[in-house]
Amino acid sequence: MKNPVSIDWEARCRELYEESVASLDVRTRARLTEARHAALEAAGVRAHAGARRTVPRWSWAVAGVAAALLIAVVLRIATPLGGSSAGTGGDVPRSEDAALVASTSPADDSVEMMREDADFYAWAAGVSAPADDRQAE
Amino acid sequence: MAAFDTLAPTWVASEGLATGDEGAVLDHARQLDRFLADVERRAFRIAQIALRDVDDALDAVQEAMTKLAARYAARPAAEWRPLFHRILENTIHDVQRRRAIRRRVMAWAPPWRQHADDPPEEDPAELAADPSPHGVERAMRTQALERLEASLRALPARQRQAFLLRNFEGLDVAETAAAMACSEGSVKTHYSRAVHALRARLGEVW
Repeated sequence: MKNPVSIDWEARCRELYEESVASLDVRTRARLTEARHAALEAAGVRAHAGARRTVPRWSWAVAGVAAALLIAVVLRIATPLGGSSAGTGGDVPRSEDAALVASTSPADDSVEMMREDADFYAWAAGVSAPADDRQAE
Repeated sequence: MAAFDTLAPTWVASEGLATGDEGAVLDHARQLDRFLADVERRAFRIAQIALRDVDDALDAVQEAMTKLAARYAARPAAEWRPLFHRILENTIHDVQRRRAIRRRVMAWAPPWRQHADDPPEEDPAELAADPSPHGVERAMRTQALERLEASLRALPARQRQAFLLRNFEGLDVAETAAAMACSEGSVKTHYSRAVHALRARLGEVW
């Protein structure tokens, strides 16, 4: 059996050691944490700081399929089969839209506008002509 | 808390950790991480006492942690502590042996290169006395610890190891015997001799 002096002496040794462990500086602690992560990594155990993984891997595949289905449903509601897009007149068939667009070229548009607003263009030419003359002088 | 994404095949294939039981494997991995986090600072101090160098001590601790995780992670958690200390002591011994070899080689080197391996000298600014009563008390405790560490370094390796494990780490005789790979009777002998040698060196009033 140990005598009390010996017990005190051994307790003092342990106390000093515990103090030295508790008073390790922040840099050394950080380096120890890095060393632990490196050791686990090297041993084939990859550790990641942060929350533990609780979502199973297959759930990502299910979420992807669900998202694709949702997008398909939304598109289906916005553009019903055989209908036209909003703002073009609901009773005009799509094939007629295409024929209308194909039949008019930009050049036709210009000629048509000139014919309808001939007076305006004549007036505009008269207003701009004196300004051009002044620039020439 | 750390989480684990991948595990070495040895973990999964190990006894008691079936391939399908991923949850048990992950729990085991987290348990190992917690164990290492729990012992890392104390292990560092033990290595620092023996090696007297911060970088060497950090390297020794990391090497010991790597070996434990790579070779013995699948063993029951109760076995980790003695195993870890055995690995750490072997690693410290390896570093000391490498240093001894370097010293022998450096004996042939020019004089200005012979002290390249010596531990760094302490910063005089850190040794400056703090005049407050708290500072005096702290300085006395620091001095007492330094004397204890110096005395520990002077002990034979087995006695030092027995004292560190029994007194500092609080391992029981059986765990210390497992860590030192010797009988329980040898542990008691080494520890008793270590205590007597330390008390003789430090004095009763230390």
